[in-house]
Amino acid sequence: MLKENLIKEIEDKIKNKDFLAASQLNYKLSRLNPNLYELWKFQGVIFYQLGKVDLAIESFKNSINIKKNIESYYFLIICNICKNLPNQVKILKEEIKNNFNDKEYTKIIIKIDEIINENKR
Amino acid sequence: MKTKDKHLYLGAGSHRLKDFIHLDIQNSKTFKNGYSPIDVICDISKNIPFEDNTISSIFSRDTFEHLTYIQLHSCLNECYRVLDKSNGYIRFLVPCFDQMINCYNNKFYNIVRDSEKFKTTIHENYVDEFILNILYHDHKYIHNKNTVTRFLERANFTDIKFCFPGETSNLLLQEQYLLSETGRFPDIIVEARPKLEKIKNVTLLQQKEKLNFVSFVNFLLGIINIKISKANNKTSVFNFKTNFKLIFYKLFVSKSLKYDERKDLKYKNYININF
Repeated sequence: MLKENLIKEIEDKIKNKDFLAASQLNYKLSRLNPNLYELWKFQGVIFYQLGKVDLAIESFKNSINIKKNIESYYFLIICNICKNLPNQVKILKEEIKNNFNDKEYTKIIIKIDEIINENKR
Repeated sequence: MKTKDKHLYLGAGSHRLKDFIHLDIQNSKTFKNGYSPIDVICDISKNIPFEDNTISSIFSRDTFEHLTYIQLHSCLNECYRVLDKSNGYIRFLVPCFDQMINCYNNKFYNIVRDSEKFKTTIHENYVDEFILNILYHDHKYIHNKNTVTRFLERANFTDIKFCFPGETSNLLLQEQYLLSETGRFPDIIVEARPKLEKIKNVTLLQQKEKLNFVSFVNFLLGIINIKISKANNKTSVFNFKTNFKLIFYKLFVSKSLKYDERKDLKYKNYININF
């Protein structure tokens, strides 16, 4: 199966909350290329959905190391909020500021602040 | 789940599975920080302390690569002995050499490994990653589908299947397997069933090894090495350990090796002359 098809299929499985199938397809994807941004992003999402936040953090860190995508930063911040690690959130916000333009930064910070405020309530 | 079902988890470390009996050579260091202790402390390469045909399933994750060739043979024989021959099965994960090469070829560098665990080693790029994958945590053997298949066949296992995470014949344990196996990309996941009748083909190798002088020296060194490993927190012991072994080999074993070489040469000459 082509890499692109596989990625699309994993996305569908995650959307449908079929994490068993998503995990198995992701394993298949790792055999094609373990150095893929999508592979680690998906794995982070799967871990997070299965309740393994520490492992999700590790996966998102790997995905960011492969490609600095704002999506993974966002996921990583959510994980750190979950783990109640405000210092890590602060560091990650700084990283977003340094790696992305002002528009993207503002958009993501507003979104994160909303989540933090919702949790406070 | 039937109450009589017994599931073993070999080399459990600090990981726990529900309804499993956890076996390891020692309690994990993290045991004091809230983890439950190991149920049975034993050396799985020598003896799995259960009666014949009493175990429904055996699970192991990233353990068998810490056993030498002979130890793994012995361990799988023990697994065969204790497993229920009609319904039992073994399932385990080991790092795959082919996947390590795949990671190397694709220049994959696991940044998460940049942690306390690796403070005594160099871990800067995908080359270090490859080397660490081989040496990490005292690995004694590197496996792939080929080695695993041969090991299992010699220990009288059949229906050897390489699985995806959570892909199993036992649906009752599927969720636990998925949680334990997902995201472990460097590993291969194997499931196999014991044959109904045992064929005698593996004990010869062990007997030969038991009578061998080299294995006796290795055994003595092993005792010392365990102490060295513990003192060094089981990291970066490779060089010291290897040098230590080399000195002993040179002192005591090299003479017998030379003798064998001469014997081989004689044999070759003999063929040449007669031909």
